Amino acid sequence: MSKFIYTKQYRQFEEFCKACHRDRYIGLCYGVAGVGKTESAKHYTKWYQIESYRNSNGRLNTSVKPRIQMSKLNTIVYTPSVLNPPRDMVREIRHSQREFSLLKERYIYGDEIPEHAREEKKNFADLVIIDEAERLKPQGLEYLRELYDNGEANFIFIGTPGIDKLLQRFPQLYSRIGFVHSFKKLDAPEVRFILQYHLSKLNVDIKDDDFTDQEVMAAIVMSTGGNFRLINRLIKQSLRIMKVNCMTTITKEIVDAARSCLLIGEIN
Amino acid sequence: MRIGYARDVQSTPILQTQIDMLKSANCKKIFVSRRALEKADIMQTTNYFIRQGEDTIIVCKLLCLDKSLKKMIIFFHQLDRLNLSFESIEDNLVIDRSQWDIPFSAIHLYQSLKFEDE
Repeated sequence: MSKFIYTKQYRQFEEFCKACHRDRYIGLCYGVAGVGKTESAKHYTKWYQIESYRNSNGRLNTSVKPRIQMSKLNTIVYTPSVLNPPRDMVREIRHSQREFSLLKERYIYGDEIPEHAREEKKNFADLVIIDEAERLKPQGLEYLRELYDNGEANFIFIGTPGIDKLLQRFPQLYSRIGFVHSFKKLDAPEVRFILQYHLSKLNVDIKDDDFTDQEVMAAIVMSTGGNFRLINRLIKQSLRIMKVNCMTTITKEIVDAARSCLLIGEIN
Repeated sequence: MRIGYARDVQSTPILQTQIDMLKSANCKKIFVSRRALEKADIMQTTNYFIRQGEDTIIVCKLLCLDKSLKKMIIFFHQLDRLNLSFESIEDNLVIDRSQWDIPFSAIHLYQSLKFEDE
């Protein structure tokens, strides 16, 4: 289940990020919890692969040429800490940009970085995706506007619905927002397609002509309402129940039992 | 890349002599800290230019780094973390990026001996 699943929403998000980068606008992306905003951002920036180059001391290892295809990468993900003051946030963003730039420089030039590239101090991280943007304090938002105006970075804010209202209170920053993307839940046909395609990889076959399977699909669609996190949890829980009861086929009763086990989330 | 660092302090060769020595040691880039900028240490001066796992920092004498032993040890730890090599021309000291554990073991041993004396 750790493989990234490309959805319509992700494709739209990808296009949205490219547009923000191309036109140098601040972007705003919001959606309810569990629809895949953070995962989409991390997948778009290949953040998990980049993080694999992090040492035990917390720094990116920029001494070896990365095996990631970095030629088109120009984005970093930053999640502000709840406790950090705004000054630290700016320092962390700059540090993150610097580390990313060094890694990309190594990717471009290989083992020996030429002198002109070192003197140039080029910033390859033009776009910064700020996850959990609700945590930003007013002063932090002002700092970010300053960075944007200085041309140091372009930003995409990711948050839950209502973040647009929060940003409206800062008219100077709000006027710089060019694109807004609402991350929607998966619709029923898409959930059905994903379940059919990906459950088969877990040795759980879903057949079109089998009433039980179709009933299971309908139960999952109805229970989760297209929320990715809930689908993931519900399936994991169902598989657990199947394993405990030594069952080989998934039924509506199993899904219902799994659903009753889930405490958190917005199960209908 | 071989990066030289010259610093104008007492009890080291004068600045121009240091630069000439560094040039003869094949330094492609030389950073100079004059007396007025004494607060800026070697890492602050060269930080934007050095690259992890690739460079060698060269000075004419260890005294060009700092008079304080503590600061010098901190500097060596920074070099170790960045996987850099170090050379001091007049002290005949060459530390490869893979051999930082040797000076650190020596320092550790020295500290433990001192502790036993006390």
